[in-house]
Amino acid sequence: MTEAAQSLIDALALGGLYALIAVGVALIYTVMGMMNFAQGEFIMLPAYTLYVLAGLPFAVAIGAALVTGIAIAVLAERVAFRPVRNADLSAQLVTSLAVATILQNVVSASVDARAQSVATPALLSESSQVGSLSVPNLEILTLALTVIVLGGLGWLLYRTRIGLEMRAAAENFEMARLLGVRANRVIAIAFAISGALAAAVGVLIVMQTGQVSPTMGLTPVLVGFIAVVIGGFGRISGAVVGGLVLGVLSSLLGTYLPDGLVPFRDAIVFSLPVAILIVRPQGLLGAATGEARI
Amino acid sequence: MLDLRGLKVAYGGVEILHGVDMSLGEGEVVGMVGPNGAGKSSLLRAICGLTRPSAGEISFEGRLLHGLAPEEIARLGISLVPEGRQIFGTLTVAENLRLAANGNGSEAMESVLERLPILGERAGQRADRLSGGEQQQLAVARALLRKPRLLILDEPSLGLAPKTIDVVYGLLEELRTEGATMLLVEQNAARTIDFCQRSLVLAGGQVRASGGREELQRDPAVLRAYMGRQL
Amino acid sequence: MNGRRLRSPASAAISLVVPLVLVALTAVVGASGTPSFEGTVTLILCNLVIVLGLQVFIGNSGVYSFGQLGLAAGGGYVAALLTIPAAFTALQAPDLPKLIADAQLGPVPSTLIAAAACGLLALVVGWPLMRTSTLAIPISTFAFLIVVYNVLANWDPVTGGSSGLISIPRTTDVTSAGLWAGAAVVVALAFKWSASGYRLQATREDEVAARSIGIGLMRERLLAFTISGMLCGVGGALAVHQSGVLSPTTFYFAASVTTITMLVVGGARSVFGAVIGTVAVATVNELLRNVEEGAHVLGPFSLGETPGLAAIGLGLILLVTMIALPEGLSRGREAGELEPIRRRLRLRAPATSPATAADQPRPRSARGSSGGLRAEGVSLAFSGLQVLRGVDLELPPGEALGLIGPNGAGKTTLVNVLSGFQTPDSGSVLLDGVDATGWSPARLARAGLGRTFQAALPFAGLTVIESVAVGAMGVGVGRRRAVGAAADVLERLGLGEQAQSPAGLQPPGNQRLLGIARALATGPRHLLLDEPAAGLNDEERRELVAILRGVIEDFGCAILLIEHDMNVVMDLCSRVQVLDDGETVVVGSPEEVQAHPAVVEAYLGTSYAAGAHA
Repeated sequence: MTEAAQSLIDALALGGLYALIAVGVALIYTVMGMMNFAQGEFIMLPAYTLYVLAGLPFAVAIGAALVTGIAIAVLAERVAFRPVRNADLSAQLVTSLAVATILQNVVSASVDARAQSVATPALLSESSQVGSLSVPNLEILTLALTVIVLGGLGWLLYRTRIGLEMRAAAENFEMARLLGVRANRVIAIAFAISGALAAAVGVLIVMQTGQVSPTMGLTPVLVGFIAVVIGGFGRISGAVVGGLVLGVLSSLLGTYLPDGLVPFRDAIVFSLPVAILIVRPQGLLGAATGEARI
Repeated sequence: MLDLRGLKVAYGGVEILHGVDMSLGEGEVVGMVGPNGAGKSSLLRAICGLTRPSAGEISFEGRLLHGLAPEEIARLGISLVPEGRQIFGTLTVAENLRLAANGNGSEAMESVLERLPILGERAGQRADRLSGGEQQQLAVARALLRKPRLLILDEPSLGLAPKTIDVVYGLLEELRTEGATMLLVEQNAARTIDFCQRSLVLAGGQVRASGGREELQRDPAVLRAYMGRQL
Repeated sequence: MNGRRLRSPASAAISLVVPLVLVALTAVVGASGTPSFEGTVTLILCNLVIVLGLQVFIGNSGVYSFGQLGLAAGGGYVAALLTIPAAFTALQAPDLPKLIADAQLGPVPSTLIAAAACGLLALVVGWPLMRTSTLAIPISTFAFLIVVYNVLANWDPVTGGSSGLISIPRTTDVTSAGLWAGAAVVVALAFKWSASGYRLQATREDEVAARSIGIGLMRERLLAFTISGMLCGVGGALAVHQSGVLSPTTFYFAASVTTITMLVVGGARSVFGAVIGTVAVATVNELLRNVEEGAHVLGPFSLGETPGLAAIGLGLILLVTMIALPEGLSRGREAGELEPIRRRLRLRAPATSPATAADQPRPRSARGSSGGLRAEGVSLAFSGLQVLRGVDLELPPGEALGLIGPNGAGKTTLVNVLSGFQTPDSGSVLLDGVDATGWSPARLARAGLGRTFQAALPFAGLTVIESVAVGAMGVGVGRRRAVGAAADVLERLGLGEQAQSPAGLQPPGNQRLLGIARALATGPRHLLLDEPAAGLNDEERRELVAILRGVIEDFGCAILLIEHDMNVVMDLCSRVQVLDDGETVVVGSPEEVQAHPAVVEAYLGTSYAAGAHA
């Protein structure tokens, strides 16, 4: 029983992390219609901030990471994505690929192409007693952060002016503009929030693995994409569900998979969504499209 | 207040408007009628900045609207109630209204709710649960909350039952008496021509007839524009 | 002659020869340099084969797949394992089946087997992947890439794990690479210009219009994906036989970005673009690599050692291309289609030859079946609105029926239901007496139902004759007959002169006619036209009516016409059906309907209804 409970908490923690990634991707998708390949780099750069600022107090480093995430996201939007805002989706996707590769290689060139280790506060490597369970502090942090962040996002979306504008823009951008909603502002803020989320994810990953590498964003961004897609395109709630499902699945597979197959865990996890998409092309939470495009 | 000169709009490779001239003065209520495909919606979209004209110019209160973003044109005081209403179904009625009000003061909200009490009753409901007529009222309320200088309505009676249309037009009548400037686009010609001081008949991308109420009610050009042959 | 072919022989020859010459030149340049330079150029040619593989799928379908490098990896590993001497294979991949481990094939057989294996893999993987929506394909193929990487890096006993494989015989030299690249050019061009290639391009240009002419999205994409996989497999095999080593990261993210950059910079839609893009980007890449290593580029100017500069440079090139020149250097044109060449060829174009009866697009299965098209009790609601309420409609063979009604009456929706784009909540659609409710648009097209759309939906990236011929190809007609049928239809509609011009540059009236031509090329027995006269002036309208009348008489085709232009309806239609608020108001002759008070009221309102009788 304890073991199962332990596995469940592990799974939820990973699910929470994946949900955070997915929401970051979904925010940009719902407001702009673009799947952002560079989200992985929005995660990676803040993580490197922790590496670069290794000597400083941890809290300072985390603050810097947050600022980095927001800054890079807003900058990328302004410089790279705004010019292609009206281009077709393939063009936007490839543009984000270009941004991703530039950022990856800038880091690779200025720091190192190999992984670097980052010291993390000892507190996080320990575990705490919760009832009869011994839960790693990092998982507690991840779960807490997930709840706080998603709660905060919910508050932002449903209780603030800008959140209202974003939801309206996500449903019908044109109509929102006709009511005076400034397109540039809404999109910039969506990117900023997305960048902040990515920074949080980056920090959590560093604290778990103790490492940073230029390509560390690749798997997370794929996770984000898949979570958004299986959750149902264009719904933030869908992205949360998608992330949770993927995370829980991945974690449980890691625990219960026979030893020989463990290295292939990622392969299995990433193959399953395709099955879902074939059976239910609109994703788990997506609305069935009954309307013709004409 | 609003001036269109030689306006041409092309859409998906097809030129819809072949050079339209039109003027609207402050306090006027002008109608625009014509069969579908005549270009009425394209004209409105061009005014509101959603479509770029291929030729011609649009000026509002002396200012050229060329190249302005839709939100900038909206902030200049042009408010569109679009075809099909296009309310935000996933937002509540109150949120739809708040979005439009944008800090324009609570008295604006109060006066709108006074006019359309049904919206107050349904404030907390998701907007896609409203009936067609209620949605139309919501769309007009939204436009009004922006304190517009020019109110444009694109087929407000589309898909509504006759009784509901009466309600909507009653609201428009109130606005007219208060001196609002309005451009009313409808496919149902009779009601529009009757309601507005003057109207234009748009067919095949050009203005085919224009004039005051009585003139047009006798003008065979109206019938011809719709039904092809004069009978 | 130009009117009866998709392109002039001269243009076709230029399009084929120019890229081949470029490949040959590259090989020659490579052979004349130092061994290391030759090795670099050889690798560029191997890359070219992969890029051509990308072009076959991405360029023709317009959908980005990030999984092609996964297929190239497959090709590389298969070729490597088949050619590494048995002793070394046993060391690096102990669990490999003896048959493969002991095999020590030559470069050509191993490459061919790699191609076949990759084709099979592409087919197996592509079948589920191509079923996902257009938006999901980039993501699911990206997942495939990562899965492949994962498997290769972790399946140590079979693939050598993350350290990869070494001691691969280095059998690819610049000549063999050049030959394979040349073959790849021919394959890519042949596919693009084949009926399948055209059908796929149609889906890229406009998915909806493509479905309406009988094209099956998944089937065409899967075919291209498979061919693409084979080419990428060849490229992968060649590359490993050049470098002698292989690891999971060889064909992974960085290589994906590089090859996609090569394709995009050159222009994804054209084979010529793939070639010049590859050469251009590779050259810049090499230059940047030299700068990276501290070379002196501009006199004494040097940046010192800056690792990663080349990759950053490539990323910047890709970014700038997407923003400033999204169609690439070639603008998506083949060599024979470039402006200066097109102009010169046009000057020598002979007059079009007259239509021959043999090439007339015959109405599909004109033998026997005489049934019409019917709707019975069709109801449909969406977005909370009841759009159609139990509507009946009958279109007997050879008749012209006008469908009129005010905005929002449900006319287009009814046509959507009849043509398979929407499924009714209740009621049925009957085609030739068979219940065709719920049939896909493509299936209906192949059964003899054609349609046009309110928006012209042109295949803008194709020429006029190509975009009409693909209509016939869509319903399964072979390429040659399709072109003949298209030339005929264009003559009939007065567009013969425009045959070789890009469809996207046609004036608005012509684009509408093109939509009709395209539908006619499918040889329909029932033709549904949605506002064909919109945007036409008086003279064009008269011509349109004459053309449509000819279509009815010569083809025996029945026409259903949604129109707001009453003149067209009155001139052409023997019967008119009026729809208002989802219901039929009246069905009758044009004169009856025009004077019917309910009809006038629907459009204009009560006060005019009275006047209508006057």
